Amino acid sequence: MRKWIDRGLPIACAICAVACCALLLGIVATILARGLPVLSGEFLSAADGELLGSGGIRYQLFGTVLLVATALAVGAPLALGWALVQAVWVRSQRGRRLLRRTLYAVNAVPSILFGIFGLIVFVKYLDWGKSWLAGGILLGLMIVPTIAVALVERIEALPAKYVRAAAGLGLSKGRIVTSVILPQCWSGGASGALIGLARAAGETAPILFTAAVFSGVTVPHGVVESPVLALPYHIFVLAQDSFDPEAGAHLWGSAFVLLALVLALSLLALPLRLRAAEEAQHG
Amino acid sequence: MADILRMPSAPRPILSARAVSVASAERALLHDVDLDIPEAGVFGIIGPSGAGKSTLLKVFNRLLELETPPLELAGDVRFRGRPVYGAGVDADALRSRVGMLFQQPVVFPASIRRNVLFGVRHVERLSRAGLEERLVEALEGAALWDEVADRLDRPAVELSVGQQQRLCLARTLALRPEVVLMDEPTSALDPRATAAIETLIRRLADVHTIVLVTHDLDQARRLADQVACVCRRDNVGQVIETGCCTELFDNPRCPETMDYLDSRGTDQ
Repeated sequence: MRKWIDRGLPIACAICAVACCALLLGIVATILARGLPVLSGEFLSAADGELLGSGGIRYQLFGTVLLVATALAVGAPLALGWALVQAVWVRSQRGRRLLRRTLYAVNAVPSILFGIFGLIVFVKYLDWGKSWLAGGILLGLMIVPTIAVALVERIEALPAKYVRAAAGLGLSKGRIVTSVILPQCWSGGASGALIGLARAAGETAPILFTAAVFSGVTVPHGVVESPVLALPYHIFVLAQDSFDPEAGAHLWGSAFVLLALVLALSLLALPLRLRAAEEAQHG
Repeated sequence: MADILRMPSAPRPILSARAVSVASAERALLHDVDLDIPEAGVFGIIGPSGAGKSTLLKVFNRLLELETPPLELAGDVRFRGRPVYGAGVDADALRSRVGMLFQQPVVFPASIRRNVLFGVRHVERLSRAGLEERLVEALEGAALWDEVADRLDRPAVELSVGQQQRLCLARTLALRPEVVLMDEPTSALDPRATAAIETLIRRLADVHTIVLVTHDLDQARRLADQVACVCRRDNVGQVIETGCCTELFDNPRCPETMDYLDSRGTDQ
């Protein structure tokens, strides 16, 4: 029996791994095959046309970048603060456990709930209507756990000798954070931020009710009643009309651009992730 | 002779501990420690592994407070007659006056220059010229200037372990501390690097108070003016005996000291 388990387990694991890779490659290949022919300079730079699925995706791209940048501006400081509280300021193991579990719980909240929260708070209560800022804030809140977990892992892997040595020289805790911990742990936070942004760039649910519209807007000039066009929402709406060949082509082109954006962010995070792992290993 | 001359000349200790006890959540680490460390010279702390020597060292500059999980401290610790613990005492300022050299050299991933000035830059406000002056002074104090003068902007990790330890000493000296606590500073070094550090310790003792934790009894005999022996009694670390070197090594009074000296004598 043990022999069977020894032989069967690696085979089962290999099948699972191959299935995952095949699925991922299948998705990427489909999007590449259907999206690449649509891609052109005009598709990327032109504004959307009057008919469904006509024109380009200039303002969808702009809106996505604006939402992602806002998410970073909101999420990164919050995550940094959270990570420092959890890994540096709170000394009791119980307190740290509580913060860690809260972080995982926030990470597990379905994105549609963030959307509903945004609808109640920003759209209704603050009376912003649909606003790019509301979408950016919600996406920022969503990526806090991803950034904070990466940062906490890196801070906890930082050898205690550095903190002790700095404290032994009379540096205050704040100075130790800015001169020892952050310079040596920024790669962890940056890789977490890029992975979080890759996730935020592809989210539809949080911006569905709060920030995105399908057409009729360009660049927002304020906060209240200032929605944006965004790639995920654009794809979502086009997918409902994908039987129309024109809309279908536009859909695959948009999907290709979104995939490239997400992939680029993930690839940018890779060397930082490797660097963080190497630094953690060698101290 | 040196022992006799140095011993009684410091009526008021620079560091003192009265009824000091340290405990973790699980067990007591130090119990009822009474110790006076005179100003200037080398004060050695010897004793078996796990007796609490390093813990005792950390009591004096409050590095104990950084331990995780936290340790409980009771008793009275004083630096120049003033309480080390308590409300209103600036622990960071204290640590810049009571510096520490660790067992393993800890260099930051930065240049030699930045490493030496790491503490000074954050603790004091000095001009660029002042910082340069302090850099040279510290490196000369640690007998490292001649070896690194032409490569101050090279990464500190390129130095040998012995040089790294002297770099750490230079970093501590750059703050012009009154006391330097040394936790087995030569245990990771080869004999040549050890000899260099020992020469330095003896030289620094003219101006600074050095508190040296060491396992090497010969080193303690060579360097220390006075020695305290920390041993486990009733399963908790205690200062069993203090005295001048010759007295403690040649005529120990307590059985724990005798056992320890005998065991180390057999080891060495």
